[in-house]
Amino acid sequence: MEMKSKNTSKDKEKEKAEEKRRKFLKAASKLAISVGLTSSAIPFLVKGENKKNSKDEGNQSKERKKERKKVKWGMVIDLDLCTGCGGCVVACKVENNIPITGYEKKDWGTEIEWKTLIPYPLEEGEEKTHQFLIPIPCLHCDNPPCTKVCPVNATYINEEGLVAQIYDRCIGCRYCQVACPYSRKYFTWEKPEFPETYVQALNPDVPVRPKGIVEKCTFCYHRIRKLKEKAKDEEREISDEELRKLPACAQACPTGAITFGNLADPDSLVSKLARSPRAFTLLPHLGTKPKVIYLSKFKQISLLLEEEKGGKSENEE
Amino acid sequence: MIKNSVKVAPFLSLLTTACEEKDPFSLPTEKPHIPGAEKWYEGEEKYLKTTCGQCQVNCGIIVRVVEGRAVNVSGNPKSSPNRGVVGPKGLTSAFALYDPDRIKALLLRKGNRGEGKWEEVSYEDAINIISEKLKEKLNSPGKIAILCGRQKGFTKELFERFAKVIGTPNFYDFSEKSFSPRAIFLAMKESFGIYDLPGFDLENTRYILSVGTAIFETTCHGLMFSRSSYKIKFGVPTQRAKILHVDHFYSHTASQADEFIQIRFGKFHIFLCGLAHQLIKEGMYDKEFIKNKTQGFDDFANFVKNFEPEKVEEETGIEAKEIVRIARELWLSRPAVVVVDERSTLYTNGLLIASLSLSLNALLGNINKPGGLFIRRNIPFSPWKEISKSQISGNKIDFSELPESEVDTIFVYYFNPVYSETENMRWRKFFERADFVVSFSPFMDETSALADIIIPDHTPLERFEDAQSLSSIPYAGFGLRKPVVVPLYKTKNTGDVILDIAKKLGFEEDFYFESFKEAVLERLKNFDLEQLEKDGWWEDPEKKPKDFDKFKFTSPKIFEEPKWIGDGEFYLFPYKSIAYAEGSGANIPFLMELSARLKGIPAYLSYETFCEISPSAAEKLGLKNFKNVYISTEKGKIKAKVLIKQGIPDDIILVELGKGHTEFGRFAKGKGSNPRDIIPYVKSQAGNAALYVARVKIEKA
Repeated sequence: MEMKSKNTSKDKEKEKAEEKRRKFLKAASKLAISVGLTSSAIPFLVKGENKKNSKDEGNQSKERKKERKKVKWGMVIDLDLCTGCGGCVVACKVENNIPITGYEKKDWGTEIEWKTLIPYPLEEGEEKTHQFLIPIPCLHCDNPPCTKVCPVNATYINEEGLVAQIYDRCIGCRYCQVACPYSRKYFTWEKPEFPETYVQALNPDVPVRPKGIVEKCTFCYHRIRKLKEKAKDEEREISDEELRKLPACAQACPTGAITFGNLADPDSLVSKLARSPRAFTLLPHLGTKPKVIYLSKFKQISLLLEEEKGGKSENEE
Repeated sequence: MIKNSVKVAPFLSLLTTACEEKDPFSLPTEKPHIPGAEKWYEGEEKYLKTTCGQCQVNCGIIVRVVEGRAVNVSGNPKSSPNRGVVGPKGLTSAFALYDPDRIKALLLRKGNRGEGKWEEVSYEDAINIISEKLKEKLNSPGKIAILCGRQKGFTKELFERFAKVIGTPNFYDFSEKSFSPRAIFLAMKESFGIYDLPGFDLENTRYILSVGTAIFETTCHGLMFSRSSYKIKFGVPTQRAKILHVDHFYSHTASQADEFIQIRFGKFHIFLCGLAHQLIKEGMYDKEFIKNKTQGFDDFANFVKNFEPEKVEEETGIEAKEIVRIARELWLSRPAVVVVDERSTLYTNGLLIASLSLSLNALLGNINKPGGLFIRRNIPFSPWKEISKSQISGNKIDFSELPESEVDTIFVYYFNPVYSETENMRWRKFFERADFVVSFSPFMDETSALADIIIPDHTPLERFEDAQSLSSIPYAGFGLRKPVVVPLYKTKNTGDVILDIAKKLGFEEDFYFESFKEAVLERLKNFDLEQLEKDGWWEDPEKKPKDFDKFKFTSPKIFEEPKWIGDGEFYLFPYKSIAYAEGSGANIPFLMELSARLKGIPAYLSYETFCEISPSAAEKLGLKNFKNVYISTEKGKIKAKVLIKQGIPDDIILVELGKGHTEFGRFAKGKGSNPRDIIPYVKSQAGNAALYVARVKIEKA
């Protein structure tokens, strides 16, 4: 959004641009899309300019940073424990009312899996290489590339460090889906369909998303919210023990490989694990600062996705 | 702009309300009709304890029930197989309950057998029809067969009792199925005199030798190994247990092991004999234990003398020095366990493999010792009254001859041989020519489609019964299965149905219970029911293994090489997927789609069967990924898609079991193919059908 404003307001005064932009948002979707197009095309060109202009927002962001320090949700996945059974994938689908792919679809990319398994294949010739299936949810980056391209601010990073996705606001332009280097965003190509009886097993805490928007892992935010409400009712603080297995995937994991918690709290289990010498994040050189941290003896996995895309990384961890 | 919007938008909390108002695809405002939900308050939410019924392991679970709807499942921390976690199959329990293609009422066949024409029938009529038919047959009860595909539990025992009372010897349980740990059961029976699976004290063990198992996938060991993996790997500082996996291909379990050693196909018995030889030769065995608690050691030692490491190397392809090393590692890192499971014992000589593994455990002296192999104590169930008189006539016909026998009246419960047995055409013919078939399946599977009458059972979330775990938990334990929702359709607990049929036949004396629930409660007299309901699980409070008299070493008499049928260039290795067992979970799309993820292929290919082949073999045959091929034996051919995979030897192809249903609901019917269509029937040492017997040919389609 900001970037776009620089582009269109080059010859005009800033205030006017602000007003105009607000009108834009209220206007028809066509406009919104065109706005989106420019904004996504420009970011790298106007990087420097962008920095200057964001000064007036400095105070605000400092405040927000302070708030973020209090709570910063994160997850640790121990690949030395994970057996790749897919329990978390199923748990996520069931908890979050994710529609089944079905047998009628015959195209790539029609499946929606907020949490999925990525194979790390056995290398040819090497006998003793490990083969992994790596569970990967939305990494909830601290510096998320996806939020920066959203023309309507449907996706942003909230006070608790979650990368939020407001479905109502999303116009389905799919820029964020493209921007995400981990491919963790899914576009709903079709109206979600459930066999008539499956409707009864839907989770009432989570909305079923309509056609034409982008959706992603929420770290089971509805469970966090429920826990907060419960703690508030009982007038107490949320303890780390309650949080550790809070998301559906962490709760289901048969080996207990997934731990959830507050990364801002140095005493929480999740931040202790994150400080482990086995810890790494995926594609660290991109500077996205993911809040999903992996533990493994084999750190080269961090560059797994890079290999898949055919690129080579320069900074190895 | 940004700051404004952040303030305005209170994150996802807005979503639920906002989406529900505007969005037609959000939860329907008009609730679907749920039987029994009228009693619930708006938004009422309960967490009810029961036991999962998605596989034989029977983990304790907690079901979240919202306004009468089963919404989600989590593990019960008190239950010993899973300790608060659930596997993928258990997580989809609610979708077995809400399967759109469940049988919704009692059905009576209308057209020809297998034609698919049914009419609804009332419960009273159904009981009358069945009992009248049975009365005719009671003169020659040997013509009646009861296929009850469960290993444990009171429903099974009630069926067994029914068989005894009517006088038929033809009662078959889970262990007779082709994919069952029967070989391990029998080996335990021979060695210890106890017909049960061995338990493993994994949390204290320091070395696990897994012989071709699927311990981190789907077996009788079920979740035990997975949930113990933290303790195995990080439990005691400086004491990390090592997992050594020996298998003929790089499996999912191999990827989880610390070390993987490849062996030639079908040579586990040689490898185990070699290890035993090495242990005995170097004096690395528990002499005191062998002296006091075993018999047949000298014979055994004499027999394994022939298995010098060099000879073993020649046969198995594992280097001689490696065998010496593994034997020493096993001895030096005691307590160590040698583990086998269904996957490693489905050869024709599976009994030998299972028995050898027990003998190795005995050599290491770790029976009933911490970190070793445990014999579970019996669960103190109180018995039902003795049967007044039992008049069983004739001998039990075994599976090899059953389809050709004169048996013409069949009861089928938890069993689907027309799909899940090898050479299943034989079974189809058997059912087609039968006189009267009663099925109790809640789903329209292949066998039920050939039935005369179907009295659908409740699904596990609607049922009351006991749930005894078929797994390798170290101490005895069982759970209580209670209905968490009101039955959705006109289904009936099979226990009650048997009682009603028996009473109608005039066996009130032996079936004196008012209802099945009462029959279950009678067995549970020794237990504190309130506590049992509260915990959902009972575990042996003394936490002691069961004592045994003498351990018998493997008899050299049972030594034999595995048999192969056919002259194709590939061994066919059918395997069970983590996701949906050997086909009984194929009606749940979540599990079907997970199976693709586990292979690393997109979800839309989930509903196809794949022929997994090594890159060099594929190159030789000119096969490309995702192209169709035919896999053929003398019994026929099936279609599959090629999937080239590393870590498979050149002479083996892997085919996942579980697809190729011809019935079983919209998600399973007509999807992929079933390798058991073409696997010839061969009776294994243990008495059930062996699964790894076929040598197949591959040709491009």
